[in-house]
Amino acid sequence: MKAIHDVMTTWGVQLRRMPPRAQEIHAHIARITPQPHALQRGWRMPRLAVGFAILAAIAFVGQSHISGQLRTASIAQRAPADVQGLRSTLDAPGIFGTPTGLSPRTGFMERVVEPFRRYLPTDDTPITDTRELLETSYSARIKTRTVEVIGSRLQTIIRGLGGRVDRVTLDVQYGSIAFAISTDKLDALRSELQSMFWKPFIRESTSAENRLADARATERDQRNAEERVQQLEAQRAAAIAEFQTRSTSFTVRINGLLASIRALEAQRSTVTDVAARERLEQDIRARNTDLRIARAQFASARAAHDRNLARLDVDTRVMQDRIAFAQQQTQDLTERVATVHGTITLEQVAYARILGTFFLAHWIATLLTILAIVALLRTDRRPLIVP
Amino acid sequence: MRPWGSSERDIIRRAQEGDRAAITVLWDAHTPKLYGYLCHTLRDPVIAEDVLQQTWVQAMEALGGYRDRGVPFHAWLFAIARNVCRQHWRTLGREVPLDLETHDVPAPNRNHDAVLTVDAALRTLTEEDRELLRLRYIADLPIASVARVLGIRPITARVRLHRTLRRARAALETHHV
Repeated sequence: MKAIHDVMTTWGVQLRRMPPRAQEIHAHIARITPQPHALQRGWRMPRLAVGFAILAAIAFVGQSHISGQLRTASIAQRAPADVQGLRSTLDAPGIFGTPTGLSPRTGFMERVVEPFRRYLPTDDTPITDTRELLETSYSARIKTRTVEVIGSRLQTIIRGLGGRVDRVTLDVQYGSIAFAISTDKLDALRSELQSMFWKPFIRESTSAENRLADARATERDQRNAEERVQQLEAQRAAAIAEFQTRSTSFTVRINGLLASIRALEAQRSTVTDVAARERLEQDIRARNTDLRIARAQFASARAAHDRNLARLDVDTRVMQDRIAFAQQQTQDLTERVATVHGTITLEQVAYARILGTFFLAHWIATLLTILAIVALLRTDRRPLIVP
Repeated sequence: MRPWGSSERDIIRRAQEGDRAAITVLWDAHTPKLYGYLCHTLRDPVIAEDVLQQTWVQAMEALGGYRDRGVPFHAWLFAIARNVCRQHWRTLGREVPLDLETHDVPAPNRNHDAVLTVDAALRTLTEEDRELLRLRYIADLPIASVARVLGIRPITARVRLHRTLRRARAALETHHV
């Protein structure tokens, strides 16, 4: 192969030469070449790449700003929206069987739900009672790199807001905190959490249930008990008054019999006639019998009266216990409504997941950045020569 | 001129800045190879001179933007020359075939008969093989630069050149060189 290489090399050398008009061509090229001092170097602006980069920056700022506004709006609107959602669900006509007086619709719900309306549970709380005794629960799921550190911080925050930590489980990868906090401090807690964590890494849910039915039942029980107590007290007063009357009657009768017996005994001491004396003895014995009967009746009436009073007193105490129980239930309900029971779950997140979530959250900016890089790589970056 | 010494890089830089002496150095170093290549490609010395001039004019116009990023100056220059040739053929609508009767007149003191014999042998090869041999032996480009000009990988260029030389040897043996 070396021989052919040498042959071809020789062949190539023999074909190289200057053209006949070499000087003329060289002079022409020299003429068109600009002078050194006249050359200016410019720079080709990669317009497309710069354009994409500017759009990417705008998209990034815009997406961050919008997500921040949405986060602020969600905090302000969440509690009332939950209540509205609860009420709107209860208010939906034809769903819970409450007659609304509206003309029936002919949609899917009516065709499917209507036949089953009478089997659905009903709530007898009237619409005129607009009280809202919302028992609230809260849960949050947070992804973080440092579960134990964040868990410790969260406990401090909860306690700092006057709350109570009921259960804590923390390890390197997972954590759980169960807590109780005042209802009026829930928004503060949520604001704190949302400022600590990036929105894609915190998921919250709040549920609220109106305990108005429980409150009404308790109030009804208390009211009934109070009414019953009043009735029992009235019965007691009436019984006492009645017995007072009967007692007076018995006393009058007994006193009359005693006076009659004394009179007959006085008359007997002055009578000498045996027959008359015998008649007086019989009268005295009859009066004594009546007296014994009257006294027995009086004692019986007193005993019956005492038993009646005792029964009334027992009933009254039962009703008063019921009132106290209703009051305690009301107090418990008030505390439950004023307290939010919540759970925060912590989960460790990998770096790759963080990056992926970031690029997804700012996908427009990411896409424009990629386009800017591609445009830059494909840009002709030779400097301009401006004569 | 040795390819890619620091001296050539300086000459190119000075030429980019408009130094005519540097341009003359480049002209003297590359024009014989370029003209020889164009003559063998175009088969017409007059047309080859025109193409040569156009090639240098385009090279001078684009010289300011030239950067050595794996593309040596000679490879860049011959790439421009090949583009100018294609434009010329496109204008003509055809490629001028090899014709020994109208072959170019070699320079004095050249072994004309030997050149003709090699050319006759190369006639049996394909145009791709001849182009490969022109770039390697007339233009005196290294394999990597030949690959860069042809737009193929260096290993591919090396394999093709080996096969082309084998065919050329067989053809030359047939013509009793």
